[in-house]
Amino acid sequence: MGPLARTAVYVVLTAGIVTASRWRTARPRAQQRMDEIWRRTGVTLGPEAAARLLPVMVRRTAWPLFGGVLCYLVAFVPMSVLLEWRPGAERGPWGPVRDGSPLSVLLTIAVCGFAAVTGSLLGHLLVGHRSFPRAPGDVRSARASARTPSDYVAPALLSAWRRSTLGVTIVLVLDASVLPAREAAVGLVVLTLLALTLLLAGGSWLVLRALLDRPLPSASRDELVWREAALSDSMQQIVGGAALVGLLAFVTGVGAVYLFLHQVPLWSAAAAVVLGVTGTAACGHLAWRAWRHPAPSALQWRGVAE
Amino acid sequence: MTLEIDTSSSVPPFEQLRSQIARQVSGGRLPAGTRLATVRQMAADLGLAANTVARAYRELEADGVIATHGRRGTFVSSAVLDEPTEQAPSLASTYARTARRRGLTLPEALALVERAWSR
Repeated sequence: MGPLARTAVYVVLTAGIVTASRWRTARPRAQQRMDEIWRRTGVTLGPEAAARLLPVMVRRTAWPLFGGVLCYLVAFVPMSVLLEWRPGAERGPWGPVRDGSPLSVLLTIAVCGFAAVTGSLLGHLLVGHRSFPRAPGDVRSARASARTPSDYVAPALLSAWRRSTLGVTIVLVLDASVLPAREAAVGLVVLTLLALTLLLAGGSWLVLRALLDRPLPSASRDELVWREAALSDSMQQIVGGAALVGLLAFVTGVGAVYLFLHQVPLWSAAAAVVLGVTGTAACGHLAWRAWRHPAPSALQWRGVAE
Repeated sequence: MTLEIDTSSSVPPFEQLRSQIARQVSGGRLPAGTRLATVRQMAADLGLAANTVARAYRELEADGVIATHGRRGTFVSSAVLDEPTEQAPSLASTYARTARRRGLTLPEALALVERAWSR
């Protein structure tokens, strides 16, 4: 059995064990998530409402996790080939590359992260299309103003997502101008990852819109607050995942230029240094903003966020 | 900024919706320029027919409370803020004085108000 086949068998076995374990513990984790929402919003629902909403929360917890784990493991099989490659080898897995081992590790992390977030996004899309069941009774509650992503996602997280997408776009242009000419094989892989990351950002936006457009049928103001907090929870996971993948892709793109500094023109090396410095500064600024304004506005205007 | 509709109430749902939005706008809880939920979304959230929500929006637009800007959506109008709710009692007493001067009885004056209200 070759190393790739061996890895594939390990991965399938691990996937089975992890998925079974996660699926079995989905209910207690969903209950924990509901408790967290109650603690955060200060809204307590009766036992009837809790029993009605728990199965939905179980699905909302289990499917994104299942999709994320599955896609991560599927991506790990081809990417593990990269990790078999040692420095000093004549040829890399995708062609003759010298001194590229750190880039292989970066690429493996970035691609696996990308796959996990994509799987999780598909899970969110799958369960997000099913609304919570409406409570029995004659009273209905709704929000008067239109829902927008910025109402449900913390400003710092939304900003991190925008900046990482902008960073990926800039690095894509930078890498496209230098890498394919110098290192065709690696350049192509890095460029593909960057392009897919931009596609993921677009896909995440579409999923956010789809979740926002779903009805929030609520029987009281309290239930509406609770449902909006649950929606905010899902949306922050999506935006956080997309921002993380953007950051990983950005680091990989800048890393690719760094690793081949001796081969690329001076201007692109300088651009990579500038991007690295500004990227670090942007991360610091976002961390500061996240500390100052942690809650999304949908929770702030009701005065229920901490 | 939340609306609550009671379908068992004797007040029709469109009227509950209209009055709650109007009150929130005049009270400043829905500031000028706020984009309202689409008819479809509001109807889905409240479990009402789209026509019911559309009727409430039409009446609010006729009263100048909201304004529809094509595909951009429906927004709270800024003009309504120039007419605070506190003016309502003085406007009512002006009307009552005028009606009495013209010799109308209270039921006749109220009937005129009801007719104007339902338009």
